[in-house]
Amino acid sequence: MTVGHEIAAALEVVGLHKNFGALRVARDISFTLEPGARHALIGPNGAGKTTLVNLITGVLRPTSGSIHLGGVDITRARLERRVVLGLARTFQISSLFLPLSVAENVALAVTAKAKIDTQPYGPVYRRDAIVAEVQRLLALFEIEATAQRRVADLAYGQRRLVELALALALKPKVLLLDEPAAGLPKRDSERLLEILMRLPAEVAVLVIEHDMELVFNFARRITVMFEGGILAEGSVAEIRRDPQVRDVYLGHRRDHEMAS
Amino acid sequence: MADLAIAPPRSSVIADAFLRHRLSWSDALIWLVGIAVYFVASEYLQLATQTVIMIIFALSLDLAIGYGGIESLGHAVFFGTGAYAAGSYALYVSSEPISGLVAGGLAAAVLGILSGLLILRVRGLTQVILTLAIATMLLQVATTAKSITGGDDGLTGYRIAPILGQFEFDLYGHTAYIYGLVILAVVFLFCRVLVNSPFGLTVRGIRDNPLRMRLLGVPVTARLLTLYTISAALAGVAGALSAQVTGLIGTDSLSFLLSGNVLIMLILGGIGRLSGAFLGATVFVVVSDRAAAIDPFNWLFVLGAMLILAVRFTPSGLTVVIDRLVARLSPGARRT
Ligand SMILES: Nc1ncnc2c1ncn2[C@@H]1O[C@H](COP(=O)(O)OP(=O)(O)OP(=O)(O)O)[C@@H](O)[C@H]1O
Ligand SMILES: [Mg+2]
Repeated sequence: MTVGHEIAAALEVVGLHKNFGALRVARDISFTLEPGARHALIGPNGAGKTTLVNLITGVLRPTSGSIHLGGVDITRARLERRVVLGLARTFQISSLFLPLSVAENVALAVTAKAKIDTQPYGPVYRRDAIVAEVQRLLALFEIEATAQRRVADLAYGQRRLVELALALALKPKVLLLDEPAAGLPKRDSERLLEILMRLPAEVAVLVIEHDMELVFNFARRITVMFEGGILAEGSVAEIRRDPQVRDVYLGHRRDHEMAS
Repeated sequence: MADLAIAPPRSSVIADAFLRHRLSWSDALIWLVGIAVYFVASEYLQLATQTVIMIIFALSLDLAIGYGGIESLGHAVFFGTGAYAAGSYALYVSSEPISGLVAGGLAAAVLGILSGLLILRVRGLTQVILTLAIATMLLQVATTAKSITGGDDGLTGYRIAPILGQFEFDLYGHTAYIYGLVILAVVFLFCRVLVNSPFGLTVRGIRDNPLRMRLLGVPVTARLLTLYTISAALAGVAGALSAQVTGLIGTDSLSFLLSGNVLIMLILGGIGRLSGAFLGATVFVVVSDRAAAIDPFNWLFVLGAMLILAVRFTPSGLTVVIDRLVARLSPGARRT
């Protein structure tokens, strides 16, 4: 598919299908993220957004279809390989290392990225480059004060920021954010938007979000999912105008009416 | 902004956020006790040597369970393999003791790799059952392969040369004890470096959330295999040491009872903190010896009661209780 393109797309999903038994959670999903894309994926609860992220990252296997990352076919690649090729994600329900401190959590990502996770000597806390990078990431999210606390003891909103710090530590080419603002107080979600705006320009970002203010401010393009399929894709202005989208999602939230 | 001057450099706040095994006064105390035993309790040196061997064994198990989350209920196979390897090495290759320890460690490491390939793909109860199954099979093999292991009679009749050509093993166990203590020190320092390292942090991450580690790009099974092999090798060294100082290896060195005992020691002392192995093994060996001396028929009852009390009142092990006491006695002390 990518042959003939001047620059390979950062991420290219073609004809992805996934069934859970009789439930079709992904039907013929195709979309492309160019390098530097700022793309939002929206849709009502249960539309299949998280499932799509799981398919792209390899947590789930698609029934059919293909996924290319930077021109490389990763449809059947192992999770770890996708990450090494430049794919990072955050979790809707934060998935961290609960008994470990915040700094240790971030350091896990930093040491993995630096490919020193096999080194059996030299204390982590005496490695200046690692400590400095951990500090930089914590400072970015203004959570330095929590460095010594166990993640298990953190508030929900703070855990979301640690999630993001882990993903950014990997310096990804494609970043998939699953509802990064969910559960964040207003002030923090504004701060989050600021941080997202400052992500390196060349990183392709796909953000799943119910906070429409964040979506409209951040994204240049939007894909709308509904019942496992793509309902619409377009610029922010196009999507805001689309009557079908308004029906199922924006404003009125008539999805339960439609289901019955 | 006057307090900026006295604030520590900010990165030290980060550095302090990592688990670290600092060498503290309590470590010094452990080694002082270890040396003092040699002088003041020389009639108990055999028991003390037994304790030292069990500490090494418990340390090896702590790496697997406490740091890697590998649920091994058959760790005695590595201990036993190390013992038989060291015994055979002394019989057929060389009676030199240090290389005998290496031989024991290597043999156990090979078995660690082989069984690791089987057990590390699964987790939880399935893993426990698999480690048990492998242990049961090996015990069966050892009992049957009389030409190598001596079967139920055990392997004996080998001689161990003086350590470094200098220190002869004596009847009272003086040399054996010091030898064991030195090996323990080496193993402990090795474990300490390992758990503080990036690899040590990585395996703790795998223990707590393997899927997330994979999504950080880490091949978790490969890392666990490395850890399990190291753990097996250290258990093998403990077994080799046991074979060298006792001059006899029985199939009980491979038995489920031994696997269970070392796990109890670790639970008693505290899992995932290295120091737990010291305290747990010492309490276990000493109490079971005393209980057996007082009441040879019911001493297992004492052990069982001890375990139940420990799990009921200090689920994270005796070392935690001691930590709290120390913290209370020295108000300025920090969390380690
Ligand atoms: N492992 C699974 N097995 C069976 N069904 C599943 C599984 N995971 C998700 N589903 C179902 O697939 C559908 C899509 O779920 P998904 O989590 O992808 O939705 P979503 O768009 O992320 O919703 P939300 O906005 O609530 O996060 C839902 O109906 C869900 O119940
Ligand atoms: Mg979701």
